[in-house]
Amino acid sequence: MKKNEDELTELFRSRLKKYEIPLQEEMWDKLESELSKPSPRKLYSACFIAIAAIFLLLFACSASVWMFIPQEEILSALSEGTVPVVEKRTAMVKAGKSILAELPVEKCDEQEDILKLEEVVESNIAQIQSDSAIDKAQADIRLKDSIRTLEYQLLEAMAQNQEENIDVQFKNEWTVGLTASIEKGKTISSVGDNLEQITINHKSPISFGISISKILSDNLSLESGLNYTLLRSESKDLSGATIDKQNIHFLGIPLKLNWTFINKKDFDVYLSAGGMLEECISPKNDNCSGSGDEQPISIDGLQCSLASSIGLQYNATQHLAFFAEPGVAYYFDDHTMASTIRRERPLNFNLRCGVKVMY
Amino acid sequence: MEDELELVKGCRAGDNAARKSLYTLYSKRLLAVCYRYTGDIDVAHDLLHDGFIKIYKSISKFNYRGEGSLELWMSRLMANLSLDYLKQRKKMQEVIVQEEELPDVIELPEKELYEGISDVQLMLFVTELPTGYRTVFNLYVFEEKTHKEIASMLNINEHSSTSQLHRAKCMLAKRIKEYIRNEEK
Repeated sequence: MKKNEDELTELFRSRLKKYEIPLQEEMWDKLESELSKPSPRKLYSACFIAIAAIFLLLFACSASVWMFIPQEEILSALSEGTVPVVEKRTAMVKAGKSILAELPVEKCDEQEDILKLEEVVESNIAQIQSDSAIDKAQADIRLKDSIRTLEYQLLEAMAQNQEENIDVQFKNEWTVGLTASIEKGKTISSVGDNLEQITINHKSPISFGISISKILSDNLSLESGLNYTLLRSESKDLSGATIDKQNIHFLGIPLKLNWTFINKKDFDVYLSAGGMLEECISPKNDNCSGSGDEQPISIDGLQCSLASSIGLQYNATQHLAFFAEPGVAYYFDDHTMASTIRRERPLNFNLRCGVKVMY
Repeated sequence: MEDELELVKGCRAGDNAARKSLYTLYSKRLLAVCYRYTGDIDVAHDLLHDGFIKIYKSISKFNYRGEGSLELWMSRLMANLSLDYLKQRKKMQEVIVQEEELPDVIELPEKELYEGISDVQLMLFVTELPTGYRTVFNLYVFEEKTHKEIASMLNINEHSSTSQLHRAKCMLAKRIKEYIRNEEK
């Protein structure tokens, strides 16, 4: 048996070890053109850098507006822009309509309304004083009641007017945030280029980002921004010696929808779902066993991913919140030849934390 | 030996003529390696293309250890790329229904009879093996890996590696006998 088995092994080994399959000349031409042409990554990179710059500029503008302009000015600017004069007038008219039905409301603003209300009070007083049929005591009582009622209604009208202003002023429309996130790492046994046994330690990927979101309704907001991710891996041979280290830097643009389903004064709970497009901006492989040179890794395509998470947000103030989002992300195959955590474990858990400024 | 070293140096420097010489010298043999692992000639062409790009990009990692070491390194790189392809496409998880009992003893016809079978035909027998059997057979016969190493590389147990190799050999012996029988008719 042994003899025959060896015979069979020997037959295939001797006949196929140096076996050759003829190739067409155009195969080399194709390879040569690919080797000489500039990487399509450069085009992607240019687009990404342009979009990244826009997000960065938007973020910088938002942050500087928020940090360097006094809050009172921002609030007054917002209230001027968002509260229509007619609403203020309506508040006044509602309060005073029982006795001020004749009050002309065309072309009036807040101060004019108050002045006119005061004029009506004065004319009522004059009217009461001039009524000779009523005795003086009754006139005094009527006068005092009338003044009290009008003062009360005037104050109520002003208070209601202010409340309406405040409601509109504090309705946040935009959110700007800083985020940091981490995913689970993984250690795998693999086969090196030389078919040797190696261990690859894919360290936990870390990300930092800026986010900008637009509040669409009470429950919905649309979020985008700019995200930087670092993937680090280290390969070791069986003796534990490091063969190479790999650092891959990604720049990504996320887009996701947030749905808030618990909205309390101090905290919110929301669900997020969306995706991200990432471009590898600096793939490097530091060869430890050979020359020590840094080798570029071939990662030319865009990395697409889908993500979903549940977010817990603590509203420290009306305009400042802290949040934590545990979630999952799925990374689609980008057909890269490099072994990355995303290729080894496309579905990965992550935890994203950050701070948001709302205005 | 001198030529091989010169080629390596030229490729490291990005010299196109050196790259072409390396390609001309080894591409046919390396294409056969990819085909032997994948069993699909179109996929083998794609892997050869990707493999050469990887070779040019990582040739500075290669340590020259005498004559034949360059070819061995490139051949193993191609084999590894092919294994990656098979793992990614989950080809090795194909379920094989074994209907017949396998003989403990593998018998080959007389040497004079199988000597006449062409290399092309022998290659075809290997590529037609189920992926799992073919992979173990390739690693054992051509890369000369032990069952322990194969088991570790493919994340299977040693017994599975031994068993798959035996099944691969039984199938090949059967195909050889059938072929010879048909030729005799």
